Amino acid sequence: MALEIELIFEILWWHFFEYPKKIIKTIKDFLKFSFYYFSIVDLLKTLFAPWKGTVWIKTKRGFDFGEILDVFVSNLISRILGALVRIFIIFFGLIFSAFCLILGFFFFLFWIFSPIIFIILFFYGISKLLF
Amino acid sequence: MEYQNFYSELKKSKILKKVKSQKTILFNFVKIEKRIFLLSALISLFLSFKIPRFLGFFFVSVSFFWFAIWRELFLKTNLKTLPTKKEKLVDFLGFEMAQALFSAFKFAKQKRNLQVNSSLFLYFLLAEKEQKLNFVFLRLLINRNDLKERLLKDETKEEFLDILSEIGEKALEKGKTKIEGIDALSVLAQKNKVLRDFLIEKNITAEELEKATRWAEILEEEFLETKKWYKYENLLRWGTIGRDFAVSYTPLLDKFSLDFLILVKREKFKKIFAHEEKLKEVERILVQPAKNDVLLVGEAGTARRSIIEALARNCALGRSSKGINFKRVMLLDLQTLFATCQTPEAIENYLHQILAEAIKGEVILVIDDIHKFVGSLKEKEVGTMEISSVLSSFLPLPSFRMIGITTPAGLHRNLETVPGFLENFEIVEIPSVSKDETLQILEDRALRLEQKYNVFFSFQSLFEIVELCDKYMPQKPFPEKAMEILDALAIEISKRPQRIVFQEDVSQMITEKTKIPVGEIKKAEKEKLLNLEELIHQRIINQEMAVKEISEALRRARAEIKARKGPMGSFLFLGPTGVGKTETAKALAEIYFGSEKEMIRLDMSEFQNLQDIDRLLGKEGQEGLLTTPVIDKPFSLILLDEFEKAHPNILNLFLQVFDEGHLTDGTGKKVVFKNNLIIATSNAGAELIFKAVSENKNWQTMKEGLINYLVDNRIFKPELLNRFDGVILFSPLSKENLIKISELLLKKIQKNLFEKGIEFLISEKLKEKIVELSYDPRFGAREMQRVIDDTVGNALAKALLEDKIKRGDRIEINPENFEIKKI
Repeated sequence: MALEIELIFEILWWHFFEYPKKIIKTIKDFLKFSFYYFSIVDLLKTLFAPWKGTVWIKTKRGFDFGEILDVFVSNLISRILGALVRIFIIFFGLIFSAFCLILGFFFFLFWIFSPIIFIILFFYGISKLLF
Repeated sequence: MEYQNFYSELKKSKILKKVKSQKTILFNFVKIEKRIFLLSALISLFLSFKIPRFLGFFFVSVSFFWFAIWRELFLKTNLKTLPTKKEKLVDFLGFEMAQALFSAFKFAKQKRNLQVNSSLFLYFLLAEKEQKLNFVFLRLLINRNDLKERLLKDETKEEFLDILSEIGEKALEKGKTKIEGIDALSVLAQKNKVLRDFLIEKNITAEELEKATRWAEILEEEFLETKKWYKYENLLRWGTIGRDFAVSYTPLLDKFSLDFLILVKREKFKKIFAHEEKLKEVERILVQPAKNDVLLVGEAGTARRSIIEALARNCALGRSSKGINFKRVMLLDLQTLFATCQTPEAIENYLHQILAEAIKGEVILVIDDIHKFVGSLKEKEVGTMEISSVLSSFLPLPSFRMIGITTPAGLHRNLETVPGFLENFEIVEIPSVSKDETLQILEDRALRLEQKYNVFFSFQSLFEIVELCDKYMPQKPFPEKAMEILDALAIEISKRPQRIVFQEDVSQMITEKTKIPVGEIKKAEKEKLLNLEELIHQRIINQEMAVKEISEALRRARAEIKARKGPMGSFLFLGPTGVGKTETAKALAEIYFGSEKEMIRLDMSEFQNLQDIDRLLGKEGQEGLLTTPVIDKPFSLILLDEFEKAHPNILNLFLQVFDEGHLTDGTGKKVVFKNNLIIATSNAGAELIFKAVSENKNWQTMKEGLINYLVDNRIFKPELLNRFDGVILFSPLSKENLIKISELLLKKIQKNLFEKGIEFLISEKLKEKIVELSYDPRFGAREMQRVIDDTVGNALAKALLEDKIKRGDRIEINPENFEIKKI
């Protein structure tokens, strides 16, 4: 009998403390992974870097306002294009992270209340069978 | 008392409680419950579309299904994990160990006067069916039921708790946190007589058991790791999609290179068992602030590229050093680049761009066979170009990381000619993979081959591959040679009805590949070895002492009486010309090595100058007259005629061969002589032998006198003479001996004629005449063959061409005029 009582305590501890800890750790891992998968930190660091690393350099000697303007505008466009694409990827990464977080949170809730859900389901089923 | 204490401690222990909990009704049938309720849920859901009441049944089934999953999770994550508080021996016990111990003690208690011994414990441990134990028994081809039967009969009284403590200590020594059944196995293999005898009977050594156990543990570790797919370290295997947008694009580099990540992904990020220490060294160099380029120097076949694969794996999984984690490792395909570009200028231009991309793209660049593109290249060689100048402008940059792969010959021949280029690299020498690492590589590869060819490799067969390759294929490096044998075995065995690879199959395969008779000495070979003297005497007349000494040495070598470093035998044959020295060597080649063709014959009088070393050992672009045939025929007889005439420095080379069994050829390659029989002949001091024979001197005194003469006259150095397994004296031939030799030679003609249907009778007078014509004490029997050819041979040839003799004739030769007489 002592074994059974000890077991019940162990189960309660596991269900409400040990396993939820594991779920939280897994959610954390998924969040960390989504940041890695979409390289969010790297993309933020290089947000305004030129698109595909393409840069224009002044080639003519001496002062040529037209060329300077040309190089400046081209580089600006390259950087803006780079930033746009990166923002787009970061945005997707953040959505994915949020999705992981929300899904994880729901699973966490489901886990905590699962004994009740299981009992409700059982009695709901019985009532359906009988009435 | 201690015994009783342990039992009560065990009964009270947390681990036993967990073990017992698993056996309660709540957990015992959880797997089957899960399946039943899943099935009933699906069926009731399907039926509920027709009969709505079944929806209730569906909900009940789902709730029970969930309850089963919930209990299974508890079983796996709580009950299967061990208590963390550890004080006593019982706290360290694994599940199967605890269960087996408990069952053994309970059984002993029921039997009253019985005390638990290691046999009883092992009996219950085997009943537990621990997965790793199962694996070890299966791979070692052991039937556990045979063993169990014997264990139950053993009633030896022993201090079992001492053995148990030893098992615990051994497990903790290995850095384990729990004691498992598999840990008990290696200790019991020494302590338990039944198991020890059983293993001896099955021809399984302690080392084999230990290594098979390690295999099981590595596999389980890998399996458990991949099962936890949700862990961050495992999620990293998915790679990244955002990184390409963060770092610069590398279109040219991508076009002309291979990403190692693709290979690593294909292998599912499997651990690579080769050169672990060297990998750490490479990683350390790559993160250095300066001089962070690596040059891997090793022979082909030493798994140099596995270091790169392991590096790519570690980088991808973020398990390498901080400075290089998550970098790409790419192999530059220079051949394709050269083939694509039209002009050297275009190649240089492209290469420049590629290297710049490697910096921007945070790539670790790998160039295989770098010696083909650097240094003094062969003129007008197609598909190659000197690139050291382009590379040199990038190599000193801290952000540029490169790994070059080359061979020792490539390093000396090409790279060292460009010191400015070479100084950018840190050299990492890659030796042949160790035997132990090779075994692990084979274990890993065997599993894949088993799936592909539907075969089964016993552990002994893998162990034997490594041992035999090490012994009999010394010219090739590990792991290549072992992998070759493994692959060949998988294909060979897949054709058989019984698809298990045994030890004997390995020795058979090695024999097939090397022509060396390995493994258990077969009956025919045994007979050959035991009757060696007789077999040699079928060709050699007289020389009893010489033949006896050689035969004994060969028997010792084949029976592997002692481990030796040098060749399987080395002999110096001394004696006058024409007494059978070369003939004995030929006879040995035919009898022991299978054919006279298996003899490498060198006339050492051709090596009288120091410059001749190159001809003997070879050099770049030139084969060595000694080394190349030995590489081609590792199992052969080497005959060094007129040994004393070689240059003293050349003779010194053989000191190492006799001592260590190997030498380095002109290209830096190690040539091994372990499976060669070396015979050197010399007729130095022949006059002394003649004199001693005429004075009827004692054989031993004559031998000593001759050796002193050779040393005093500086013909051979004493250290060289001492290194021979035997200095063998061939005595001059008497007239009786010569008559026998003439008979042997004439019999060869007789045999040939017999095949043509002609019977040739050899008379005593003919033999005597031949001896009379050819006898010259200085040349022994050397002239005899010529005399026979001139007389008998010529006469027979003429008669055959003139059709004077034909099939069915019986002939004789007149010894006086060598005319043919029909009888």
